[in-house]
Amino acid sequence: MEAINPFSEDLSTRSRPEACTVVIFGASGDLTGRKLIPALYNIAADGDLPPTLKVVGFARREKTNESFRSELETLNRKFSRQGHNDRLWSTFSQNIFYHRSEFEDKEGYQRLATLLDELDAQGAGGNRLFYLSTAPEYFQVVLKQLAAVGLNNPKPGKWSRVVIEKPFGTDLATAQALNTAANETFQEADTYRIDHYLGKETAQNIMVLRFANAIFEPVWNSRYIDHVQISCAENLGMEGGRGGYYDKAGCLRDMVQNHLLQLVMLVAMEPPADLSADGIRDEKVKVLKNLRSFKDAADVAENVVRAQYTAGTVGGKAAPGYRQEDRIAPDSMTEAYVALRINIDNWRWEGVPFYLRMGKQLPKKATEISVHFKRPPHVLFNRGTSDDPANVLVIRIQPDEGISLRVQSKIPGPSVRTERVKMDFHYANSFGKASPEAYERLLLDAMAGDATLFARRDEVEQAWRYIDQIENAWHNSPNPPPMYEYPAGSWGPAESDKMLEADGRNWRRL
Amino acid sequence: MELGEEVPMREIDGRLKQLWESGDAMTRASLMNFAVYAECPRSLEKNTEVIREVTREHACRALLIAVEPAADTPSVRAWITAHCQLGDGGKKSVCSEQISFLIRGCGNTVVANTIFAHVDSDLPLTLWWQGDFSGNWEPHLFTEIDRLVIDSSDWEEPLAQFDILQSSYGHPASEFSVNDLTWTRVLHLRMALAACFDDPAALALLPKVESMEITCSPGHVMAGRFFAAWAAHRAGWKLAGVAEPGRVFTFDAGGRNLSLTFSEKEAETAVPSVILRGPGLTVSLLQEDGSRFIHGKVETSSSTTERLTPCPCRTPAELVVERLRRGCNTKLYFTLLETVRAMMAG
Repeated sequence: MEAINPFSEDLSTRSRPEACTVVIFGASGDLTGRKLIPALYNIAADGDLPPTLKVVGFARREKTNESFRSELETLNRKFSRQGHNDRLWSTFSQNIFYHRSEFEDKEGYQRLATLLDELDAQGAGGNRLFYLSTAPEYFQVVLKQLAAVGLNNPKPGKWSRVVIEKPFGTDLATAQALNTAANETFQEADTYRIDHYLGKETAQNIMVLRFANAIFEPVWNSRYIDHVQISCAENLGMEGGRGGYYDKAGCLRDMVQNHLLQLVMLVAMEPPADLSADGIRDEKVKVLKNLRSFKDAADVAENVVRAQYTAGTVGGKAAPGYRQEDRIAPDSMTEAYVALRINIDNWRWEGVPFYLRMGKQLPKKATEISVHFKRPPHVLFNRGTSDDPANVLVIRIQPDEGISLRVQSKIPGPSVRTERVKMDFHYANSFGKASPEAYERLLLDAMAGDATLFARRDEVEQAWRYIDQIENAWHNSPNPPPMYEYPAGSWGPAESDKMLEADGRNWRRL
Repeated sequence: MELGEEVPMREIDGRLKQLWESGDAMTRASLMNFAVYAECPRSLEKNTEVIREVTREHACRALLIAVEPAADTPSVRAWITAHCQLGDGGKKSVCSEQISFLIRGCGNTVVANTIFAHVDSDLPLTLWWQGDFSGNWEPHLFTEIDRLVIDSSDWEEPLAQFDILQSSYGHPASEFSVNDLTWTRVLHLRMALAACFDDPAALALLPKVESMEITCSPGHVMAGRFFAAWAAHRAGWKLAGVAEPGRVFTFDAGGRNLSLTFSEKEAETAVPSVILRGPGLTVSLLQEDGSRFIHGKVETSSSTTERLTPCPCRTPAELVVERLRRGCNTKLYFTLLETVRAMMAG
């Protein structure tokens, strides 16, 4: 058993990362310079990085340690949350190394193993965190080669973990194949599937809001809640060459399968018995298992709306239609907007629909969850008007992170008239400082062995099982649901509004 | 530093309302009530500067109280102002309000009454008591506060002040936590020491440590004592004797002797250096003047490891910001205080 450092015991309430070497596959990609290295640097700036931590960038391009460090320094100056300190960078960057190899080249992995042993001899400690930040088609290649040279097997008393970036498969079959490959290479407990939404403070706060405040949980059920809306609006299209990837994925796979379903799980889950990783993930996965299946393509058509934007105006600028965007096929049948009506068949949520929507080229960027409570049973005030007295609890995920509660209040004056007002909590106003980047928290947790904020195999597969029903109806059925259109800069297709109107509801104005 | 607009006591709330209504782009932010008490009339300007820094991190309603107990004619004057910074991408100002009071020659209950009349209800009350406790530190006040901030390095009679602190804390109606800025001064030093012993080679040699040398800057020996008491508590070392009063102490480290030596040196930081030595091990923590980092170095017979730990806390405002960011383990503080008291008595 490893000895415990007595001096660390009362210093931190969060997971403490262990000394290790982080190997980033695909290190010349965007994520490394924009997110991963700034995240590690900021962890160091907070004094939480193990002193002997080493970082090895594994990629195909020709670089030296020095040129790699220099490139990363430029990017860190630009993207570091806490700015850039030359002295700290100088110490931090001495532990960054570059390893050039093709992903399929076994000999490259043998050289990597030698390098890692050398770094261990320099104090890295023997633990390894393999971060797969490559294009998804290389995930299994890298896993296979790691196993081929035995790097997946931890040294005695040490650990080897793998972090896998999204997309985790493109459907259930590919996700299962990737999971099988991952589980043949690493233990499930050592496999960390990243969903960066779970690293966001606002997502983590959903559980705190629900389970640390006694006033919410008693009304968090079908008796008091009418419906829930989860909206993710983006005011961008396919800028920066994103079209190539996006047109193969679509927003259902790109955002709903992972991020939005994670939010559904956090809102709908039962209280976990404890805060252990599996305690929480057990409850989350139960929500996915209770999602009502679609009977056929017609059922999908009734509950899911897909659409593409046509030319319009966003933020005062002309925007092309989806099919006219860079790297998008002119006859593309990929959705840039999707709205879903989800039913959860369990005691708590019987009869409470969850409406999800995600779209590109909408008027503004915003992600939020709104919990719409039922109206008071007997309307005493504002009778005969169209005013909706229902309370709405809004959890703003981004931007302007916070929580607000819509309540009715008497309008000052002699008559008894009421108006909606907001009780508002803003992170920025209350806490007065920026939250850490999601990747900082997630990297810390991966190094500390805390998998709570990472997706488990059954979670990922269950989410794909649900999403595949829709994808199959869209692409493989004889009568596929139609692809609707909306002008760029509008709030989506009319059919999406009609889906809610049929239930006597409306989308919340973001 | 301006205290803002002087207002009659009875009009404070109304004038604050006007202040917020006058600026369209101002958003009032508050996470707590933060009262600062000092028995020095000139403290208002100095503390306004501190509050300006603190509110960058901790939005609050600040209540500054300066007391002049010996004044002949009783009087209370008040000023209101706001500390604003740009938020939301520079589009609006997020502001914290400040009410300053100058209390001259009034009875003991005036301070507590002044504070309680102007706190934002439902938000916790933190009181930073500057200097030695006086007659204004009375149960009516301390049983209502949530957090007490003190700086034991500033006390003129520390042993007597610790007595008052412990008896107030022990009052049946007290619920405050103790947040000593002296303890905060060594927070990052503790982190740096912990980080050095994250190194398995160093950790394996911890049971062989024979000496600890702590250098303090003048006026900050209390910080050094708290650091030593904490290290001893965590490592299981017990104070066994005094070799040289106030300077050299002996600890029982599981049957072996460990010496602790304090020395003094002019420096910008409270504790510029800590060195632990044992056979085959030297752990040093150095804070150079002008540096915002603690340079940690672990030397064993087989390797040398170095690391930098950020140390952003030096000014009173920085210390308060750091202190408010964290919870406080008051139980641990009082446990360590026993060793600190023993060292002071020695």
